[in-house]
Amino acid sequence: MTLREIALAFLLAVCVAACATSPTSDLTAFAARSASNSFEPFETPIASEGALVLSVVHDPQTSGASCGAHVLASVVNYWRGAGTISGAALFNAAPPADVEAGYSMAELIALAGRQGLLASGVRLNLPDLLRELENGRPVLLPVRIPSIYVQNRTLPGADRPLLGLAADLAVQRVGQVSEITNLALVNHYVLLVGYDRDRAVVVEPVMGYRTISFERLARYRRPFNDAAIVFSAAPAASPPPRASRRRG
Amino acid sequence: MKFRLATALALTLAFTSMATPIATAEQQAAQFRTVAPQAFSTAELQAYGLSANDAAQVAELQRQGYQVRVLSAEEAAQYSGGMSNRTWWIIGAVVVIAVVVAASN
Repeated sequence: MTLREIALAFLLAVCVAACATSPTSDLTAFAARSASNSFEPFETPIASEGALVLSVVHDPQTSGASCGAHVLASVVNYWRGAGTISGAALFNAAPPADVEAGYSMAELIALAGRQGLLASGVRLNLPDLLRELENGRPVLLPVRIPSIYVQNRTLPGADRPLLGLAADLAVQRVGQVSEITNLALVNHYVLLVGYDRDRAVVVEPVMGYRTISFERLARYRRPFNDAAIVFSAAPAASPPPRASRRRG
Repeated sequence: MKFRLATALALTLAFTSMATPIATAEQQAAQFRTVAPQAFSTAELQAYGLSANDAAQVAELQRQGYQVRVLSAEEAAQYSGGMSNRTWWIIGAVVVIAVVVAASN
C-alpha cells in the first residue's frame, strides 16, 4: 500500500465521518460529549460539578440568513415551554428585512416582544453575562467569527475524537488565517447558556451546544462592542416590551 | 485489490470514529449545575431600559454597580447576523479543500 493510497483511505474515511456529523442539540447529548464540539482545537470535557449549563433546546439552522430566528426560537421555548415555536416558523412568518445580512438586533427584540418576552439590547461585560446565567437567563450574543466554524455540510471531525483530529486542526488553521486576514468572517448569533472556569457554553444554531474560551468569545464579540440581548418572561403586571425605546 | 483494502480501511476508521463518542458517553456523562429561570427584578428592568423613566435613572443604577449600557435604536438596527446561502456553499468548498490539503500532507 503506497503513501498515496493511505492518504486516499484517510480522505475517504474523513468524508464518510463528515457525512455522519450531527449537532449536539440537547443538554444530555452535550453532557455526554462536551469535549467533542468546541471552537477550541484541544478541548477537555466539562466535568466540573460547578459548571452551570442551562437546559436550552437547540433549534437547528435551516438557511444562511435565519440564524437569529433559530436562536430566538430556543429562547422562546426556554421561557414558554418546549415546542412553543420553531425558528423555521419564525423565519417564514417574519423574515429579516435584509435576507443577505440576516436579522438585526432590533428585529430580534421586536420579534421577542411579539412572542411575549421582555427583551432589551444592552452592552454586557463578562461578569454581567455570568450574572444573567446565574439568574437562569440565557443571553443572545452577536459574534463575528470565521465562517468555517459555522457550516453544516461536511464538517469533518467536528465531533469525532480520533478520525477528525487532523481535519479539525486544518479547520482551526483556516479559522486562524481568516481572523488574521479578516477574510471570510461572518456575523452570527449564538445563545450563551453556561460557563465553566475559563470557558463559556453556547448554543450555536448550526452545531448546537459548543464550548468556547472566554478569551475567544470576547474576541468574537469585540466588533459589536459587547452587545447582547437579555430576555425575561414578562411579569403579568409589567408593561409590554418596548423594543423601539432605547437609550445610548 | 489495493483499492478494496483502502476502502475497507477507510470504512473501518470511519465507523470506529462514530462508535467512539457513544462509548465515551457512557463513561463520562457529566452532571451540570442548573438554576431556575428568574424574571427581571425591578432593578434589572430599569437597568436594561425596560422601565426606567429617564437616562439619569439608568445612570444611577450604573453607579450602583450595574455595568450595563442600553443600545441605541440605531445601534440595534445596525448590528445584524446571518449569511447568504451562497456563502454557506463557499464555506463548504473551503472545508473540502482544507480536508484534501490535510490528507495530502
